Amino acid sequence: MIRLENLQKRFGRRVAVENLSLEIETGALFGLLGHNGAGKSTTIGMMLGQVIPDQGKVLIEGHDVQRERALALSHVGAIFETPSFYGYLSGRRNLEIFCSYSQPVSTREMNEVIELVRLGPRIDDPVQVYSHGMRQRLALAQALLPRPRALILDEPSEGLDPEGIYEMRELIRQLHRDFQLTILICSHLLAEVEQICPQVAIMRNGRLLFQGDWRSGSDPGRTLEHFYLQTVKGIEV
Amino acid sequence: MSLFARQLGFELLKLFARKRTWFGFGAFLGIEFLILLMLQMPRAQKMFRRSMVINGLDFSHYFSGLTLAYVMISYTVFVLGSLYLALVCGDIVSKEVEDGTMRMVLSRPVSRMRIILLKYATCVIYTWTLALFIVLSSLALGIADRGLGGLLVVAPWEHLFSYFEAGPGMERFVLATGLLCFILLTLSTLGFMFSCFNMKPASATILTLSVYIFDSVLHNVPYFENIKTYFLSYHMAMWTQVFQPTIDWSQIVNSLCYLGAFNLVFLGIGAFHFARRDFKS
Repeated sequence: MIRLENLQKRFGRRVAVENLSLEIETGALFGLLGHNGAGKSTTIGMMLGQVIPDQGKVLIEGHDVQRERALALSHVGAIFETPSFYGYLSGRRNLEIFCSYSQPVSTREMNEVIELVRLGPRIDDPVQVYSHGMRQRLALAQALLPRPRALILDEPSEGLDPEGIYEMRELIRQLHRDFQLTILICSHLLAEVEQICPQVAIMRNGRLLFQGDWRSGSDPGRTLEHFYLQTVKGIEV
Repeated sequence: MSLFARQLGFELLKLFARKRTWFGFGAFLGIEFLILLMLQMPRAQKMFRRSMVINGLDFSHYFSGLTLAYVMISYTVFVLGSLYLALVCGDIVSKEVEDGTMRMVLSRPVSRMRIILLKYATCVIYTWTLALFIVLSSLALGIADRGLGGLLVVAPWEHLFSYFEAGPGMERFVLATGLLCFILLTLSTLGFMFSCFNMKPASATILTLSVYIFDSVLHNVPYFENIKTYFLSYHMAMWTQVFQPTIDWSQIVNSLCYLGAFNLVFLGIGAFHFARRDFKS
């Protein structure tokens, strides 16, 4: 579904991502982990064609994101750490605007997604009066329109209260279960990723340290935090 | 094409739903009212009367709505126009980048070139709308105050002294409007180019205004008389030439080609930079 081949990106002298190769299979629930500045957001930026790699390529369903941007991104939805909208317009109008850059979406389809993210009663209010949690749900709604095959979620639970984190987690599970979406979650909330993703990739200083099923191994009782610290720092907890 | 039209419709909605987009229209209306009010003063009218009487023209006929409209436009269009065009067009890409909505747009299956074309088309429509508004509101206010009458155009620095009856005068206004639409686009494209760079919206606006003001200042320095044709503001002032008794079309076309080339270069640089830059939070 998503394949990264020898990706490299520098910002000035600083290497943000170095020789990163990664494969995310169709239908996977995949976590991308790493410390601040590990290169996670740059990697997601390159997946979505927002950051231009110095070397290597990203293939989504076989299409190169840089060369066949429209084809590659036609079945991908994404949300970012701090979702941004046109605050002076309503939630619905925002959805219409973002959808206009993809294929046309019917009113019925839009209403279904609005109901799915539980924004129905407030969708015609200006976004500037929305809470952070509502903005996050609106971001998820725009990522789901039109029906994607893959979701790329950059810190989807960032800034949410415990109830919001729980709702977001359940929504992600529901989307994976009901629509068989391939979901990539980029986060440093290890407890969240632990509950959702069996497959993870761990990055440090732009390099990939691990990719695979973090639960497989000698100790079935270990947490993702233990595994992460062991992988990144060699710390046995 | 229908998809492009739909996307353009939403770009215009985004632009015109913002209050600051309307500041320019309000400011022009305000200054036009002010000029009109001040032209009611006997001292101001005395100057008009003197220049008309010297040239054997009837004051009551030529101190008309058309003459007042010309005065209002000529004194405001570049001073205020540059400010509001720089504000809106300097904002159009950089504000979306700053707010983070550009990243949301760029996560969609849409090419960067299409985004640039949509944004630029929005700038063009805003510029033309503002130019039309400036001319129509000046004419409407002038005619409401003094009636149609004849048109007297006096601009010594442009070697311009002309007078027309109402019909030919209106025809010259139509030509001037078309030229203003094109000429003002140069300021918009300049602002748009800076907007595509990796800078804050305010910086793009200030840079646009700075370039225009530097150009205007240098263009008016007498020592640079020999090279004045290289300045943008020299060619932008060409709109007044349609009020000459005999229009020198070759001079106007020459200026339009010059400005057109600048527009293409500004747009090309902006698009090239936008296509190659990274968008990160």
